Amino acid sequence: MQTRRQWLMRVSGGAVLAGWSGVDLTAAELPPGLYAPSRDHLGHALAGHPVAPGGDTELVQVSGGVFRPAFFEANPYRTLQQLTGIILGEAPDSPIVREISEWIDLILSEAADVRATARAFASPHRILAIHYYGAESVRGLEEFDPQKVVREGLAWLDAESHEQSGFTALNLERQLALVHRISDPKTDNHGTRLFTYLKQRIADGFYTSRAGLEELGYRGNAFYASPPGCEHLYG
Amino acid sequence: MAVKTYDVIVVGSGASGGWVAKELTEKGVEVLMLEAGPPRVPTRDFTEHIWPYQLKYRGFGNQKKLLTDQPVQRLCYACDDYSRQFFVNDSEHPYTFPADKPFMWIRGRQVGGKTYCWARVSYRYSDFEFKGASHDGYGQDWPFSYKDLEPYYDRVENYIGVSGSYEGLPQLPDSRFLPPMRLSCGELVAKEVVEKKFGWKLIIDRSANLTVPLNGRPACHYCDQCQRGCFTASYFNSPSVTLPAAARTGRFHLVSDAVVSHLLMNHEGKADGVAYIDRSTHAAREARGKIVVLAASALESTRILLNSRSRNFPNGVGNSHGVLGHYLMDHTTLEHGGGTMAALQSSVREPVGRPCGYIIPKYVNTVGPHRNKSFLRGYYFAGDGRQELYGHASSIAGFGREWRDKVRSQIPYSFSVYAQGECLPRYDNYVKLDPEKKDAWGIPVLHIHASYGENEHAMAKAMRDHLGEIMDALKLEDRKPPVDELNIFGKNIHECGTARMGVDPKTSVLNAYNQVHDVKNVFVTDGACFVTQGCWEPTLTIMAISVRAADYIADEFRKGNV
Repeated sequence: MQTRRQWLMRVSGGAVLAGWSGVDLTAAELPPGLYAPSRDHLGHALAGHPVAPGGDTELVQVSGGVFRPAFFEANPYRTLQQLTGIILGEAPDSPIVREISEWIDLILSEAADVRATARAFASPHRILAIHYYGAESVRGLEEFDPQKVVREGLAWLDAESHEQSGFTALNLERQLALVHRISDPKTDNHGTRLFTYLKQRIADGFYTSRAGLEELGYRGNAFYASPPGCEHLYG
Repeated sequence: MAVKTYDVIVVGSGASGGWVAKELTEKGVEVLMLEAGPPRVPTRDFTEHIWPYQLKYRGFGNQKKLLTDQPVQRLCYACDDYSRQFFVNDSEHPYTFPADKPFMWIRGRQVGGKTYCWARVSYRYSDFEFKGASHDGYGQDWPFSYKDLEPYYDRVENYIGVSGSYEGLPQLPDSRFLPPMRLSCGELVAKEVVEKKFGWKLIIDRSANLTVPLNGRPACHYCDQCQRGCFTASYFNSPSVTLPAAARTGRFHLVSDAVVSHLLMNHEGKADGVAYIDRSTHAAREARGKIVVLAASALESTRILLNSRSRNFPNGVGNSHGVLGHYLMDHTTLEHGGGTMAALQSSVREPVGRPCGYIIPKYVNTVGPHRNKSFLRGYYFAGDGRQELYGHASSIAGFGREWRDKVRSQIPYSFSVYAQGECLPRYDNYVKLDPEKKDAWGIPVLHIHASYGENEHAMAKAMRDHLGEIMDALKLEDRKPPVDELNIFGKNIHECGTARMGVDPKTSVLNAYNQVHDVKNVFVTDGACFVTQGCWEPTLTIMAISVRAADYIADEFRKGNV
């Protein structure tokens, strides 16, 4: 007998259940676009590749080779990994730091394009966005430049490191001391702006990772036999 | 080659079209359904149980793509990294509005329409809606009463399954419920406070999710990802519930990717069928039928009628008195109220996955003592109480393991509350064909002219006052007041009206059975037919009305009256 918790972890582990096929979902007699309820949904959720190719969903592409950052040069990328490691309290070469650094590189590499797209909005779309999100938020999307925040922040860190090759040349103790400085919310400089930006991205990356969700004890995306509710009252 | 003439052509495969097709085919009528969008393939298009870390953008979405292809649709909460495939590409589906009257049009074109991503909230209307004009003198009554529609609500609910609690409220009649879902800790706390202090009920919402198995569909397993496509068909959508029932009769023919542009009218002034355009090849095609039922969504059905211009119908079909396109409604909401419940902060995680929230049903201007003379009609409150996942992470200072430990062990408890109110039907809220702009298939698009009026703004003041009183009574901390402005028109995706029903052909487009006054073999069964919409979500009522209309169509067809 497995608990729901183990269940959840098995699903997230991507174990492959032999014998499942999608046949019951598109019962042959139904026209395309209609479907019958899955009789083996458990099996479906446990299957390793739950989305067949050809759709709009963009999945993580697992590549066997060495990761090449799209936004960062080699040395700044090492700085990013070290900062991510320190902010998470993990080794800079650990798999979770690699996973999150790669994702941050992706977001930054597309940031200029996203901003340009927002600035090129047709007038009606901009009007809708302003009414929906508020003018300040729309201006943020059009003007906030995270690439600049990161470039300036990394340059500031390197300068404050007082070493030929910058932040990466510092020992861990001196790196920690610098990160302490930039984590001070009462100060505003390129370093603190970098910290604020990275901490939010790292929180987004970590708490959407398998390890982060496990750490939170997240009890969703699960299978329950009865509706979740107050456990004090309903048991 | 002779073109086949079907008994009935149904345009649209969503909540309304699905029911019309099911009822007609089960009564022996042969139906051709035309759907503007493509079929969805569960194994390819459903993303249920996908984890954020399996997605390239971890659930935050490909922003470039969203801004480019879906600058309008992305504003809908349900159009995200997991489910954007169920929403249209805005560049193919333009529409226009005056710069000072923004309208947010959320559309799902596919076999199943918006039933893939609807929020499943299911309420019966009462005579406070159907006979609203008799009650307070504003506008028009519907051409039937609650008693007339009640047996059709029963039929729909017995077949699709609606969970909820029996409350005996005259302003929100009980459905034939499956067992209710459960309130969360914070909602139970709020229930006690709200019911004691204000005398208003706080109850679990009414939702078209199965809490027990029904008609061969397994019960919900509470993953709370309905809008990503549900493999077990445990909530109502037409592709897994009504359309398969129609298909099993052998009298159901489905053509997807068929973008209907207008009705084909004969010299007797009746419809012969419809003209449509192949979505992929853009080839012009025709389909022939003895009866045409438009169920393409309120604004799309009206657009087809407006675009059906001919010598006999220079302003479109059903528009001989200039009513078509008018009396557009969408609910008002005051949103984003809430805060945290300090007493419920915890280090222990609670289970999550309930696919609905709580509601405080309308209490003002109904049967109880709560009256407000500064506006007509009323509103209700909704929201939910739940633990933060990691939204508190950035407000906890510091970094490293210490920071993570605090994020894990100091879980704030959030309580949200917003109000949704009735929008009065007004002639000045209307849609018409844009004189210039066309969509990707060369069909004239809609120009939408809609804004909220005095009554909605007066009601918003009362909503805001009471939202504040609720938040005070619950002693919420880190309080967020509701936003200053009412929502953008259309944002609630409850657009209704524009081809309303009525007894008088001079002031309405359809009769009591959804039949166009001017053209007896054309029917409109979706939200376009609504006379008023109360403050309640319209889909359950759309379905009940569709069944009632289908009954009538089958009868009239058998008798040779249409």
